[in-house]
Amino acid sequence: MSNIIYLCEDTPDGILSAIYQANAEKAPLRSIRIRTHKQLAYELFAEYREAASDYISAVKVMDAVNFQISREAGQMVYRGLLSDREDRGDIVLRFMLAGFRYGGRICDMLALPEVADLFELQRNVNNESHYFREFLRFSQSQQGILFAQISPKSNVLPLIAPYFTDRLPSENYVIFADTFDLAAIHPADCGWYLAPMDQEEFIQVLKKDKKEADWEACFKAFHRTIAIQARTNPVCQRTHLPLWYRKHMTEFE
Amino acid sequence: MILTLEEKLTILSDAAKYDAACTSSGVNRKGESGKLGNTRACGICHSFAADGRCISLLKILYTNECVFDCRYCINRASNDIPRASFTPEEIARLTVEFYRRNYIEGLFLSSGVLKSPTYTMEQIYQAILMLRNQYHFNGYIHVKIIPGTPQELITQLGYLVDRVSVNMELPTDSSLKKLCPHKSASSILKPMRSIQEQIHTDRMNRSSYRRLTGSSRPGLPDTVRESSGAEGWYGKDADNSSGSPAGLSVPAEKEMKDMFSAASDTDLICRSSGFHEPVPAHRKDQALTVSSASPAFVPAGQSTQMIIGATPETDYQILTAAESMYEQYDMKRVFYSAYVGLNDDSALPAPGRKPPLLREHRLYQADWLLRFYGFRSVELLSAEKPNFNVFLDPKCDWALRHLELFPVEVTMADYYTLLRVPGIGVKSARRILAARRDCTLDFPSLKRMGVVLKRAHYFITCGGKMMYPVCIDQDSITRSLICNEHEKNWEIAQDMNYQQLSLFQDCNLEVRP
Repeated sequence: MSNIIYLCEDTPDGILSAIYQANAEKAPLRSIRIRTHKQLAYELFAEYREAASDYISAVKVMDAVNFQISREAGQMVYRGLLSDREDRGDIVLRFMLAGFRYGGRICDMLALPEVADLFELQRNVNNESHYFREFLRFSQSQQGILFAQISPKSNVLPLIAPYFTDRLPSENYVIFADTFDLAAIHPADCGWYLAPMDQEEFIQVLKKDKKEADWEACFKAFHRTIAIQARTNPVCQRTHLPLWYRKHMTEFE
Repeated sequence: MILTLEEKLTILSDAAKYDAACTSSGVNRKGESGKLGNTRACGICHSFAADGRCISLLKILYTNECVFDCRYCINRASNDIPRASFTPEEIARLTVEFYRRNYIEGLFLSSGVLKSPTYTMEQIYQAILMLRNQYHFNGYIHVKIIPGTPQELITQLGYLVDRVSVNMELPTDSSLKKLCPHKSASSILKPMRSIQEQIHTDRMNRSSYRRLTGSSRPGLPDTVRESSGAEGWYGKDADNSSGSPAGLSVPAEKEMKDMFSAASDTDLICRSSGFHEPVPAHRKDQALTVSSASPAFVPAGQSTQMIIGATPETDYQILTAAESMYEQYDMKRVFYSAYVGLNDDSALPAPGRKPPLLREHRLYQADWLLRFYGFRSVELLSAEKPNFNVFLDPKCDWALRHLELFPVEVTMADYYTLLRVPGIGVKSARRILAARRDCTLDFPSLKRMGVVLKRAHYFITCGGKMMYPVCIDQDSITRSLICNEHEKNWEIAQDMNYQQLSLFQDCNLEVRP
């Protein structure tokens, strides 16, 4: 293991830029490591190199993956980058190197450890985003905007926003991910976009409507009565709906 | 007494909770500007109740007043319980407001019988019509059809909803007679058949629905059953037991077979040549994609459910009944509901008895084997062995009774052989097929692909080797499978096959005092 560590911003763009820069500097790609500022633990005997985030170089790397490997590989890489694993940059880079060697069939070659690692990484991100599609709860604000708060581990916003846009095309909604200080915003009958937002701003702008309590009470009553007492099984409930997802869910408040 | 919406919801969801079906799957529909909602073929659960069952749809009754007197039912006419009814307006508002907040995936509307089946279903129709047309709700709707509903009403409803179901309630006619004095087998089967026929007509008019066949096994092309039958996977009655789908006159059926025969033949050739492995149809292909511009008749198909444990039927009878539902009525799903004792009735098990949950679980496992793994009920159970093994899942149980077919070589076996290995499922079998084209497989990589080696390693070889030295013997494998603890497994294996080496005894040494 060489001791070169690239430091970058904690976004997919940041990691992709670091990969671009490492390649441009002819660093030994098989053994470098990529860490983000957010998750960094400094170590001795390592050479640290700063990599600035650059949109153009990030796009170049993604284009190379999409066109020289395959679209499917591009999707796997992007989803992998949304994970919160510290070594996601390394996993993605190793996958890319294998991908440039084997071409489009790489995605099925699960017996290779490089591919299996990324496969697992992106599967976790996919699963988490699917859970948030299910377990996210909107409330209606005084202005009639639907708003929701989530605390995801991976940055699932870019994956769930298109889904909710298709589902609620004529509603205004805001989904705020407090772990990333990021919000997905969708004005009615328009596209969606990501915007930085912090907790204070979120609480100040969006306040629950007065009638909201009635609907919440209705849903809580429904959630309570729909369970069959004779079959009570909290372990099964926890398996399907782990406790950490319940943080912002109406029925568990 | 005037009830608030919340009180009504409490009464009517409480009355609806014994219905098993709560799936929102089977149809893809994109969202549209000005409307609310879309549907996903995979189905989406939104929460889990304290009993661990998913909450996908707003499961309510239109009313819990009922003129029927089914013995097992909490809402039967002879029970003294609080009664309530929704208005169409209330149902529409509840659904839309819940849906906007992402609480639910759609509506599941069932009902007690108020005045008559026709009157009740008309009310339900009004509610659904209002929800779709005035509230522009585009999400999932599942409606329960009450036996005795007139044909025209079913037809009209069918174009508004995604799934309908008629409960078969009990697996045999005699139990039905005993417990449901107001229902009869014919009043249940007639609407099922008419729904099946209308779905069929509707799909034939849609060119996009290419894969339509008389068979109801969504995961499996017809060729599998025929070709595998020839190899002896199935019992001897494999080919003649599936009745011709009713409603199809014989020439129509023949024509349909011709239409698809080209595709089937290539599949067969691929299979036998062994080079091009058939890439199994992805499940997505099976779901109908619809738009509200051209509404389909019941796009997500029909389902049914039966009660387990209220009557003395064996698992074999239940599974056979389910299989005939899949084969003869093209059901998407059959649900099994473990009987929860509610009424003190001489014809029923005493209330307070624990619901037979393990039995229900085994039936669902077997149900999956029927639908996605190409098994038949006669393979899993028989008249001599009519109930499932309590300790082993049905697939392991089957495999242990057919050890002559194992071990299977993972790098060579075809898809449908892999599917029969305990610990390998649809997804991992697909991944194995894809991966072995370009790579050599080994046990760690199988594990990464999702194969449950804990069960599978007794039944597979990889590159000609087994993972551990295993004695292919029914008793020893059964014992190891049942014991979860490794230490116990180890002890059992030691005890049976090997002997602990002992320096003093084996080398004839003596210990001096």
